Amino acid sequence: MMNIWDKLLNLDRRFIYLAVFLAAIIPFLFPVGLEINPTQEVISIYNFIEELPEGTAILLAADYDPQTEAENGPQARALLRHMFKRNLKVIIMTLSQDGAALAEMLTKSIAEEYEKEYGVDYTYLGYKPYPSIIILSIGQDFRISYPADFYDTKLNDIPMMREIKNYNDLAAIIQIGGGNVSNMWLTYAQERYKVKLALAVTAVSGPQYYAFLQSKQIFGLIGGLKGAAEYETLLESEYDRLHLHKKAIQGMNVQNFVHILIIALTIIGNIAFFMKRHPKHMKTKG
Amino acid sequence: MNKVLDTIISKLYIAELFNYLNNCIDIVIGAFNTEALSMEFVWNTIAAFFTIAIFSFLIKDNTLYKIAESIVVGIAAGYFTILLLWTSFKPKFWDMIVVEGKWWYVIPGILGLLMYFRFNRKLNWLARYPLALYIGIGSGIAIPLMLQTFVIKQFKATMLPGNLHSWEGVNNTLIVIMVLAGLIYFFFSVPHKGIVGKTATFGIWVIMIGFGASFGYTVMARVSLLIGRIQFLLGNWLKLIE
Repeated sequence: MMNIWDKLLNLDRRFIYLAVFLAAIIPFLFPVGLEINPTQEVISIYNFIEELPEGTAILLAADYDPQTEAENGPQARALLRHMFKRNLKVIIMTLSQDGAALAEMLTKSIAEEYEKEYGVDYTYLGYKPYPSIIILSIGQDFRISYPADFYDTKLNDIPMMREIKNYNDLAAIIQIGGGNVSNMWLTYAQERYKVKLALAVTAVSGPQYYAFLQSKQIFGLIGGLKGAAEYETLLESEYDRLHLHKKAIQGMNVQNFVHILIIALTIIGNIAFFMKRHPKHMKTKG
Repeated sequence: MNKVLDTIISKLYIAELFNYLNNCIDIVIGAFNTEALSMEFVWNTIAAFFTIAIFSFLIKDNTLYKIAESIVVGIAAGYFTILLLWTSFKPKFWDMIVVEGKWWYVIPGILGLLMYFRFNRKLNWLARYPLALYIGIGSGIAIPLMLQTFVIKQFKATMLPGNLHSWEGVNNTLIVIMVLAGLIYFFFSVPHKGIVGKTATFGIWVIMIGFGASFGYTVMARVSLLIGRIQFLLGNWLKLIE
């Protein structure tokens, strides 16, 4: 006859999926506000943007696709809101083939919130294939890879782009994505042209980029939904002013409950495993 | 008595269920009454259907999941082909030669076509020319920059001055000790005995801490994706949350 430990170790995995699913749904319906403390690597990016003079040009590379929208989307929204709030001139582009429409939607919706004018306050360049070649070519001139913007308007006909030639005319690049494309920005933009770079990456990629923070190759790092929630916390008054929805903060509240469940399941699973290996148990079984 | 109670309760539940369904139908009809809202609702419903179809795999592999998977793969392949055609072939090849008359753009076009000779056994050697050019240029640009980015700069960041008077100094000292211990674990030319063995054991602990941090972040990433979908289902689709 199976004892409780055997039952636990042979538990149908679908019960665990159900438990995780419930732990992710219930806090949405009955929210509990938990405190979010911004970390230094996120504060660095916030302070950098905060201290830039109005009208400075900055590049936002939204290199993410629908698969990671849940993490990168809130990061991109928070960053773009901050840039528009500070009246910076923002160039948005994407090197992810599935990200062109996402980046366009993001740009349009946030520009509408802040009543920004296309071509004067921001420009959307769209998608181009072969990331490393594009990154290298921008170092010489945006016009090599992007003779025209996403809507086929020549860059020279866009007012804010007339004064911008290459990385030298930008205060920094903030890249959102993670994985290979982030490595390419590090190699072909930061290392080759010594441009200031910060990364907003998925949580899976987060740990590998802390090394670049230590080596000062990047000046800030936003990791996953947690990083986005930290940025939203720093922008809190702005969210309240515009009556906006703090999606990452809401998500992190739920995340905490799922983590508690996963930790509990890990502990129970380990206890069951060791109890089954315990000599007394083996004897009883024999 | 129990039967009576059961009947009342079941009827009450049925009545509640009936009311709930009525409300749902009202919401759907209401959504269709406004043109803009109806389109949003239709698209969100399609997205919700695919989300649920993909999640149904967790119960077991099924036809609904396979349909959703095939549609995603098909759309992605078709989308990418057209995207490449419009962002690469048209502006960089067709427009350059036909519209702007820059005939020399035929050369990279021919080199690109040579790649397809890989499918011919007798002439597949022709495919080596574009590959040689591509790998040659790529390596020439990438190797020195990657060496700087991922090796030399990381070496420098590992060897920062350490001391025991400040947190930064302690951190730098710990980095040196832990990196050396981790490297010794992978040094198999000397038997892992005595001081080498103890350092290697410490090294494996360091590596495990690293793996633990990565695993924690990975769990957080996966849960974030689930949260994103639930935010969509409960918020954008059902409007149950903000």
